[in-house]
Amino acid sequence: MMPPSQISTALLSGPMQSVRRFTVSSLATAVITFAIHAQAQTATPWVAPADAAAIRNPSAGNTAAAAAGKQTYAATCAACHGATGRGDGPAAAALNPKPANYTTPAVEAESDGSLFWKLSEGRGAMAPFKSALSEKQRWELVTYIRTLGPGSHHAKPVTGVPTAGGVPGATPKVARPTQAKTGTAPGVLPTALPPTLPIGPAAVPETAGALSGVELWSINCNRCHTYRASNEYTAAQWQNLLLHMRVRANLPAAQAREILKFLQAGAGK
Amino acid sequence: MQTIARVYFRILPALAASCIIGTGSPQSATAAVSDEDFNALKEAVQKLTEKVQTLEGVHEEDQAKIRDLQSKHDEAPLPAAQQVPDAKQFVPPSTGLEAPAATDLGGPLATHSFTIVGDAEVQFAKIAHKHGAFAFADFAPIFLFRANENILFEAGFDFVLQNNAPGGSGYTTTVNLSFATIDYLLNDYVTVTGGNMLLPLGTYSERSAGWLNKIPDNPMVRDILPGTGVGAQLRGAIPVGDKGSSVTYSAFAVNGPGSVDGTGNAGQLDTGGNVGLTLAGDTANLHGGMGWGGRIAFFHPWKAQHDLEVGISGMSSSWDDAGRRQYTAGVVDLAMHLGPSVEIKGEYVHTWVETDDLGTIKPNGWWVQAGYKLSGMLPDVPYLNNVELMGRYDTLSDAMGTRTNRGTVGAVYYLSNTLWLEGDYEWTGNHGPNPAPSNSLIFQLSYGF
Repeated sequence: MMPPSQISTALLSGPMQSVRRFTVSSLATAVITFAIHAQAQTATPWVAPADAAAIRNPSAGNTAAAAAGKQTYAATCAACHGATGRGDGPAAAALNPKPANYTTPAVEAESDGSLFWKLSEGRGAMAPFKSALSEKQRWELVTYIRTLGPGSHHAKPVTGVPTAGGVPGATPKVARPTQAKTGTAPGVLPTALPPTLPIGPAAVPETAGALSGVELWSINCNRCHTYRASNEYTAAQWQNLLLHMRVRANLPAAQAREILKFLQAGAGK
Repeated sequence: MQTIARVYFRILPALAASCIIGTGSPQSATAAVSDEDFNALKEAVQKLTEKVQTLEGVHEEDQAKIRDLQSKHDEAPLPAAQQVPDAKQFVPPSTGLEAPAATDLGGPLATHSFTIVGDAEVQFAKIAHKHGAFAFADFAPIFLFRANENILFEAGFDFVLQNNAPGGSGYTTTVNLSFATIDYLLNDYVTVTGGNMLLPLGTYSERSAGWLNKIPDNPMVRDILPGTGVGAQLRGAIPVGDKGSSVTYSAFAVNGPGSVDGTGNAGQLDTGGNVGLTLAGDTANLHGGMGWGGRIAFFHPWKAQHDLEVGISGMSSSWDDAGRRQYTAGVVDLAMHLGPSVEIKGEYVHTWVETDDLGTIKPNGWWVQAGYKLSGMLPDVPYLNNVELMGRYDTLSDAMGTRTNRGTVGAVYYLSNTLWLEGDYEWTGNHGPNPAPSNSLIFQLSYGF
């Protein structure tokens, strides 16, 4: 490898005039780029309608609902919003505006109804989940999102459900994938997502093996390119694209079908 | 609805007539209507009202049945014979031709669907000792035609605008058919592909080139591999377990590489591929030997955003016009993600090329590339959380005395998930008589759609 001093020498090896021109043009390009991007980042505020925001969460404070929501979150939301809800999922780098950071006071200040409406309707790269998830699943999701912020006091243990092995103050036990799949660990609410892929009750009922379409999308699609939001293409276009991907990337057929179902659920019109 | 309307039309005039009679008649006339007549009229009105209600009920039931039948009709797949008009009805009887019955077609029927995807790039380069300039503009659409669930035609073009050689005037627009294949998905595990194919030697040609790569130019070692070939291929994937793992395979037969000039005296391999057609219109292959090869790989995601893919691939073919000299290539490829922010991939390539004068030479090289998304470390810092740092090291030996090593550092700035700016600095070290291009600074704006 060439030492840094030689790199500098190489950079300045042309006539000084060319270097100046190049520097100026590069800076101009950068300034224009950032200016355009700055405008893109200041997106219109997203406000739920007042009547939607006023709807109460039927599963508010229910630990079992939060645990179920955690599984749906890992499968459906973590790719963009990050494993801990900070808006830092693998897809986040390429998204503008950025996915919401659920740990911020701004999100904490939002009503459950507002969050429910937003994840149901979607906007821009945020897919609408009213078709992909049932109403119950979406409320569970909201209940779980409420546990991510620093003031996560919303979800309370359900009476009669053991917590953290019954030891007060002990670290709650993490629901392992196998437990979650069979639903044998209700009420066990982890403080953070487990280090392993938490594969819970499938968000989309019909699955290829244990993984749902959105999980398979999360695993496969970012391997070669940036994530594409489901509403970027129509249902028919997704069908063409998934067939293309099945051939080009040797995507197993069953997995491709599940991914297609997930993407078509939020496809553009 | 018509029945109800008819009933109403009968009742309303009667009621109107009653009102007129009632209001228009002198008071003395009121006394003329007997209770019996009044009751008879009242009974008639009541009967008509009941009849209307009955008809309305029947009407509602009919509507419900219609809706039910309509939904069943929409959900149920039509028999093939109903989907495609019977070809017989289009054949003039006088011709005496027997059109094949629709049911004879076999297989799923076509519902043609078309989509364009692809990418576009514009690049600015500053090469050491030369002035900086916009290097090219590139537009690479991919056309996808889907006939049904099993048949796909895909064709990729590459339109590139570049200046002519230094000292020359004007510019050149080149159009390449990057690939054009007909894919028949035989079942869940086997796809038959034919046409001009991107060859599965490693994964770079199929899944990393162009806008998919986060560094503007290709690893040098890709120059010693054919990128495409005309022929046929079997490929597919077999799931392993239920956590997303799979074994993938590809096996192909193509015309393989050729020689640069096609005169029979060539000493240089043409990895651009021998498509089997000469400019003179000769349909013969330049050499008689077919090229064979394939790839097998294992993909395993062990937890969220943590996965590994390892593959081994190769091909062997005659390459000179006489078909006497052999070209063989072997590639080991690896790609892994260690969390949402870290990506590492690379390939090792080794080739064996038989020559007349040098015996068997072994051009080889490798590359490894890593990326780190700053959003993993600085999720809340505006602008910086759009940056992915990139680094690559690649090396190439031509097996004739020249080895080139190149280091690349740079970054990708994501303006969106479809548009991003790449900036890289490359420094090159050469050992031998055939030096590669000098150090360079490259910016590229890429749009994937």
